[in-house]
Amino acid sequence: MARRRSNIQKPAMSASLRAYLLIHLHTFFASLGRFSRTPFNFMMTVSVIAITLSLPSGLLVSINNLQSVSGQIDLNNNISVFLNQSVTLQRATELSALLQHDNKVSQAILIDKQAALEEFRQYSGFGSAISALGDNPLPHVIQITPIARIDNQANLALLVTELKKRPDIHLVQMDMGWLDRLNGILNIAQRGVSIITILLGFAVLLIVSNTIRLELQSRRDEIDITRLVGATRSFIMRPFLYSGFWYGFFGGIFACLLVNLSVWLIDEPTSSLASLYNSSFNLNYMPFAHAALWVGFSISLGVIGSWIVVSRYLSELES
Amino acid sequence: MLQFINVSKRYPGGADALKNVSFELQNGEMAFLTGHSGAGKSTLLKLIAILERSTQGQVMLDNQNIGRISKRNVPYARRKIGMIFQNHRLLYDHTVFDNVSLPLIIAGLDRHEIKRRVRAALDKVGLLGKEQRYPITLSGGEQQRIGIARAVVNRPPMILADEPTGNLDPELSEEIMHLFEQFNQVGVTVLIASHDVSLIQRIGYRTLRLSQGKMVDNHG
Repeated sequence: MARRRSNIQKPAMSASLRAYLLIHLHTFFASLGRFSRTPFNFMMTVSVIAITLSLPSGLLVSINNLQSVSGQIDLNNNISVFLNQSVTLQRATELSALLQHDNKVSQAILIDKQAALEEFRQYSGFGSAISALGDNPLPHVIQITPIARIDNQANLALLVTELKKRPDIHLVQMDMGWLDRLNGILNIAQRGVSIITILLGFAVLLIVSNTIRLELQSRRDEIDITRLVGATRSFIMRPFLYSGFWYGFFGGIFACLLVNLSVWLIDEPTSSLASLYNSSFNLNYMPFAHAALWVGFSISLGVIGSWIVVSRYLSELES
Repeated sequence: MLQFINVSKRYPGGADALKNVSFELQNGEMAFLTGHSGAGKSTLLKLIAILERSTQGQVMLDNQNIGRISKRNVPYARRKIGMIFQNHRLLYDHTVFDNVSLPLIIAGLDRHEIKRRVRAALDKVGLLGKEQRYPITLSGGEQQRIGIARAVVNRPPMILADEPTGNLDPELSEEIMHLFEQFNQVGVTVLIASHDVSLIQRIGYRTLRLSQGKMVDNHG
């Protein structure tokens, strides 16, 4: 009898390892096969997960898009220097040349008040109103483009202070304030998305747990029988963990598809809006790396949710 | 092979299911366990299958105190026992082959070995050629044979049967008992719980009789 038993329990190492991997592979696809027999139930759960996860991932894509908008503006942040009304064109030209030599300035362009008025007359549609004004109300303006190196706030601020100290200058305007505010809002939004991600992550965990719990109940007999013929805990858990895996996997994939579908739907009206601002802006789709992270996140939730329920269930059964 | 030493089992709530039960089954022995319902047969079998733990005393299987075995090792101890049930406990949405191969898949044997042993087990119980059938398409007697094939496919040193002929007519019952005798003849220890006294007397093996949780008869 001893000889017989050793036959069972000690197969050659490589053979037993291969058999072990085969069991894994078999369960892996068997759990997928089980879904194919109840596709409606499977798709319901997957859809709930996908919709739940598409909210935080979609918000994140929106934020990334807004950030890229503000990033584009960043690249051409010009400083408008309005000179005093009393400054002559000659003085303005000298000043412009002087600023051009500042090592923080890449380009300084003088827009003289006469040219500015002409341009305004042409484009604003107030042509006759402007003609009615005797004097030119516009000052000379020097448009400064800081060199690319000075993209950090401190250097930019230094340049602005230096400009403000000059006697001829009336107003230094840098349209950065609203950009800071936008970035501030985006930071808050990002924090908000993190919170939503955590909450909805829990929701997905509960969805998977509940689905697996129902699956456990419907396969109660099967579990009892496999236990009776000597199945280990991990053997019984395995198919359920793989179920959780597949729920998470497909839920994550469909969430990413939903988000990208939404981007695709919004992209066209967005670029036609952008073209009104002379911009060729296009919405960004979810980057592949992000999609992979979301799917990974979803899979982890599926496996963990399943593990919690099954291990609780088995602990109650064990004597 | 199997030894009960002063075993008592009290369920939460106070009922004594087994009181100070002692007996021993030798390697390769075959015996019946009888008694009225409620006498403690099921509890005794559950202790051997480690579905319950004894409150007092020791249950020794193959020189191992299975009452004290860790949860992690329970599955491995169970693999030494082939269990057969009155209601068969088959997986009805799986084929005969899948049902019988289950213990081998759990034990991690490779595919060819599984195929070979399942065919051998089905051959022994007379179901060869019905591997791809579903249990529900077979008769009650045949379903019980699937259960028996599953119990022996792993070649356990001991077979435990709980009312294996409970739902079968006398003729089929005798056939099933004959199967157990055949396994016993190749050295497997067999313990059969049954209340079919006339059948037991006709076959004539050692009989353990329980009454109100006590072992009242322990002889052949």
